[in-house]
Amino acid sequence: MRPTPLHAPSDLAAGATIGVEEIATARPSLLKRLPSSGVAMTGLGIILFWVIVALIAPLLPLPSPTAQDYLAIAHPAPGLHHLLGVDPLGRDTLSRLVWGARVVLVVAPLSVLVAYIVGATMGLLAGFYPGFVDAVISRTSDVILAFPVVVLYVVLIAAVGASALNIVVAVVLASAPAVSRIVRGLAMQLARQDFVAAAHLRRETALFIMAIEILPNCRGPLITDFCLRLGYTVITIGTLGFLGLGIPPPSPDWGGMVQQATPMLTVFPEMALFPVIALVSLVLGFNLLADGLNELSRAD
Amino acid sequence: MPGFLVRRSLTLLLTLVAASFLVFSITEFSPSNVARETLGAYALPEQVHLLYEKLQLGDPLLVRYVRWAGVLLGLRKDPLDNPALGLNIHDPKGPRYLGNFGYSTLFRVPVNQIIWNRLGNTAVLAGIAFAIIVPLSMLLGILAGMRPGSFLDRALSVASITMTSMPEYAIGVILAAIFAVWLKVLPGTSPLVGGTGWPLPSQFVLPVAVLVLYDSGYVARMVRASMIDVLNRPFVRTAILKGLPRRRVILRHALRNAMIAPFTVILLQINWLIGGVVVTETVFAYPGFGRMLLQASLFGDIALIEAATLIALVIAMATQLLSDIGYWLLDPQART
Amino acid sequence: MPTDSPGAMEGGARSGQAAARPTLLEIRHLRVEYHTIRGRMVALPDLSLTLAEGESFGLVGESGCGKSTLAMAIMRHLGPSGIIAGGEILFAGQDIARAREAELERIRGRRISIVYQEPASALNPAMTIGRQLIEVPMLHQGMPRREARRRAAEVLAEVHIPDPETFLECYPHQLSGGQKQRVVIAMALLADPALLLLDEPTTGLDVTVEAAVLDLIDEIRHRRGTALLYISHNLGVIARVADRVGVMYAGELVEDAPATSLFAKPRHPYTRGLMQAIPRMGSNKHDIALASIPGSVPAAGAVPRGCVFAPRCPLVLPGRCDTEPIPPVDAGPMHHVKCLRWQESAHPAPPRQPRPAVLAADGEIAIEAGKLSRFYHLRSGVVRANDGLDLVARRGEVLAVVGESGSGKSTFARVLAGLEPASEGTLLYAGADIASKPVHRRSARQVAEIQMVFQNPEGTLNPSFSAGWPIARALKKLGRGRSREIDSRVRSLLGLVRLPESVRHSLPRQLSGGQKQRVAIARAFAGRPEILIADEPTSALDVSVQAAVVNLLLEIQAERGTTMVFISHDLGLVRYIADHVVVMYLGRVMEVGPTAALYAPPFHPYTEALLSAVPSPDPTAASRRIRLEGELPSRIHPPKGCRFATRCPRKLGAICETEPPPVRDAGGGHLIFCHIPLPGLSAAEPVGSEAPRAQSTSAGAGQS
Repeated sequence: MRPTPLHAPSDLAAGATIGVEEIATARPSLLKRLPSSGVAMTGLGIILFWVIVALIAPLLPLPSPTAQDYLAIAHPAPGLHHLLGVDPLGRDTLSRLVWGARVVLVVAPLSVLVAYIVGATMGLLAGFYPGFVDAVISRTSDVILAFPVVVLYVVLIAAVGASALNIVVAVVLASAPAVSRIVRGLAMQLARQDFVAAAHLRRETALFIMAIEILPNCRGPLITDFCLRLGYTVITIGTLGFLGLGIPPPSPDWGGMVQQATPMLTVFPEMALFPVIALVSLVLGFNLLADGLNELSRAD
Repeated sequence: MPGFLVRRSLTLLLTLVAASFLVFSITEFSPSNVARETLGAYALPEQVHLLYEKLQLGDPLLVRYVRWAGVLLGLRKDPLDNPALGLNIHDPKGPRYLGNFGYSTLFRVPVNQIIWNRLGNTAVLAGIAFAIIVPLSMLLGILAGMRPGSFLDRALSVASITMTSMPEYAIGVILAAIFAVWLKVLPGTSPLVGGTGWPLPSQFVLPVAVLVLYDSGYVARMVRASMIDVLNRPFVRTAILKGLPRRRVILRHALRNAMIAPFTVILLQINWLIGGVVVTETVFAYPGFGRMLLQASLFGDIALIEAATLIALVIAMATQLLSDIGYWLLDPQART
Repeated sequence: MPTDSPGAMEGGARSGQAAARPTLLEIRHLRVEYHTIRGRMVALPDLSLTLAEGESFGLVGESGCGKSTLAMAIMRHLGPSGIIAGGEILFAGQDIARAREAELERIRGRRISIVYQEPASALNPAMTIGRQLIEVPMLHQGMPRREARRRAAEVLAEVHIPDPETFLECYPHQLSGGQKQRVVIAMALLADPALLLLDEPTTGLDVTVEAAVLDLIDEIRHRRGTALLYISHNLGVIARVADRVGVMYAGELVEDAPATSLFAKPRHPYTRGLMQAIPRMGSNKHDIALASIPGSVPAAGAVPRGCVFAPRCPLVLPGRCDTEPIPPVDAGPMHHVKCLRWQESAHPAPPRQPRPAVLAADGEIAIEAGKLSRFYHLRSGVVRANDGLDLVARRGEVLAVVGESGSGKSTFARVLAGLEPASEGTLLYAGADIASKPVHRRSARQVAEIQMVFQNPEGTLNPSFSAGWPIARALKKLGRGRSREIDSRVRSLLGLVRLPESVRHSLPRQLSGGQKQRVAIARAFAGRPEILIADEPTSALDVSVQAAVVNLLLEIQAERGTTMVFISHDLGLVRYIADHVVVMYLGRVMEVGPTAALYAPPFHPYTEALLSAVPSPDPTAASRRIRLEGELPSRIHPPKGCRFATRCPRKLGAICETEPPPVRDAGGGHLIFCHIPLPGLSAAEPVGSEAPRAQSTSAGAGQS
């Protein structure tokens, strides 16, 4: 995710302008009104396409994504046997794309979800307990947010080794502080609202106030950010794969596919282009959904 | 210099120390690893053990960090720069000086001999990109923000959402496929050496294009959002209802206020570009700082990783401070 | 819409005194629509209005009635979605509705200027005041920079800005709210316009600041002969500034008349409703209940056929009022009203039930604050928001705490409720000191028994949960009902605040502001409180809704014998509602006493100034003008002696600045903290509408 500027509201970095009023009017029916946004529906359509592809991957009449067709290596271009051709090791590109969707659609949502759980908890605590707790959490976040994010990923993954789990850990480490910063800002505003004071006046516990009174009202801005972050995490996973730090082979990984195909670019450019198109379409899906949701929440 | 900037500098310095400790912990968390990486892949377990002892790698992390910082600040000798270890590590500037980042096991030279040259190359690349990104995206953003819903605004919105959906390497691969493979008008790699048949300036075109395409859309969207926001503020209405012509309302009243928020965003792009160059340089085999960092990470060149990350952090901190100062200058409310 | 209305409307306007002056602005059949993605909304269906040169026309109505749309239509600045769909706006013979952009630029700021609410956002935060001011004469009069600057300084002096030269170099954020509004007014006056539009220019300002701004507007008008179109929801303000008044409702001008005639004989049921909804100075809850108007202003687009007020009107004739638009009729000289039954509505409303004094005046103390203090430690110093408060609330009474912003009244409310701990002092409730005990350290009983209703209806309910949820939750957490009973208890609480049961499942955004406040009251009463703190519960509501909420609060309070601590800045309302009043200024108590005693001499000089600043909805009432000089002192470095010393019109001398004032006991629990001895304080004349034509001499002149 982009670095969040200190003075600009954090949501500005997410491409949105969110005011207190919008937090207050965040509608539970946002998802119900989704069909009215063409942009959001387009995004959702693309995402659903990939989700379905990933789900039915085992049912599709495709060769194994790791099976090497040595005969095809000499003629890797798309053809009847391999609709989208094969990679330099003779593995079917279409099959690798389909199975690669499974990988990315598990790793990306999982990492963002965990990042959200960690980040939202940090942000709620920081926003609800100004002073020492806030200072500790915010300063810690600042340290991580100070890193150029790709640098952090590269150094981290290189140190701990590339694996799906380590990628999840790295995404959580890099994203949770950013999520925390957004939630903290929202929580601070909400904690000053009178309905929170009213909750204090009926002896609700701090946990109840944070989880029930405050958190649900953050959902408007957070849903948008969640989608954006999903898209960005797909990019990150691809980037790590491209840099040779991704999910280790022979697992099909879109970024890794681009990396392996790049040396062949001058001869067989489509070998690199297919995984690029797959990746860009999925990210575009998340970004369009985020954009549409943002428009909807602002139309109130 | 107002007090808040002093406080801010101190905070940033503390953050830097903490961040450098984090980097140190990540790279040197496992001490036996440190010894093994230093010696290379073919070292015998006895050698590793010996180095482990000599470097006192069994000490707690914090102690080792302080020692490492001591070397960097020129307070201690680099323990590796010792003929007795038989590592053949020797720094011509001597074992103890301020800014001693240690010895690169990948390039077999002191870190300082390689890192500044690479940083210079990257500065050229990022500098050109930045010089294009800022005016381009500001212009587009302002024009789009002045008339939301216009053709330009919609075009910008579509272009920017598409470009931000594309990782740098995707843009790189697509551009290379079009311009280097298909049209054959530009080189597909940028090693910055002669003899490739391509003049040096042409080698910059694609890497710069990747950075510009990836970044401009985002910055332009920020500027646009801020412009729309400011144009809806009551003081702009005041200016219009004073009878000021539209041009004057925008130039005198809206622009400066509209620049306050994106200003920090734009400066933080420098930070973002540091990450972007890692990928872009790798795509085009550009001999820059980012690619060097990646190589060091893949190789396990601990001293070079630490040095490069620290420098990246310092640049990031400096931009933050710069953005604070700029904010202070732009926004009179911050000055009191 | 009526086709002959302008004749009727203007026919009257041309007769009488206005005939002496030529017409400056004539609006004929103006229709304004907003075209949005959700469809077309008619904001002003058909509005006609004339304004003579130098005349002051006041436009009054509740929020959402189209007052501001009218002002912006006159400026032809309706935003991208606003469209003038019909009619003419003739200004000095030129039709603004059809003027070209270049012509508009010559009118705006030059011939017509506007001042609107929230001066803070009306000024460019990144430009000095000077640069923003000199633009006007440089643009419109072609003045060179230096001359424009001199002119700007002159006008700043005219709006009573001390030291204009220094002021020109300031940025807006360095000024107080009142100063900003003066700057905006100065900016509007720079090109000497013929017409000044004022859209709620004092809303949001403190009453003493408001009074000074109103004085200024008066002064300018008489000096320059500028015509005014003054928009406000506040009848008192309108009575103070307007020659002629128009009452707007749902986009229509339902009544217009000379101010004296309108306030003396309001003809339209809506006008009458508005007037009866605000407590008159001198009335109190024991004499009369406030009249509220049922329902709320229709949303644009949902305006009823026929009379727009018909659904809320007590005199509505089904089949007559709700079929055809009502044409305006003459109800007196220059007095027009859009009502079929205006003659009937002229009769007094049926007498309302006086509220019996059920107050158990047994003198039993419910809460007692002793040297209660609350400090905030900021980087720049310590703010003593509450500094040694001594006060007492007796069981079953309404204790009002009044003061302007920065007085610390809301801080006191929060400390009392336990939302913040006190820094020093004691707060005795039922034999226990709860001063330093925030809610989580109070016992369940203490929390349940001290409940609060908040100011802002928008923030009082959690937008994610239905209205019934917080009530049920309060019952459960405060142990006021077994889980089986909760359901029925929620229903009975909703009934208590006169809300239909269906509201229970509504989300807050589906409720109006008044309904939200009712839910908040129900929630507060779920704990069966002994003490109810009401922190400006009606200040964000329209007057007609305010009346209903006040009536409701008083009713429940009296019925249950609850002690109510009522925080307010509205002195008229406080006089109506309170049994005892505490006047606060800068964290300290200035005066405390029974309501009747407090609103009559002897006065604390601050109370006196506050009372004289309240605009009375009676244009014939002459009020003495005591105006406070200077700005509210820094809350971090308040004056050492009497907190009010720096602005006191009756300051005795050095003693006020150095020595904390002694208490002057006027008897019956009426205490005044002032260096002036009691006889001196008693020498003040009464202020407010009861003042029988008092002379506008400062009562303090002879004292100092």
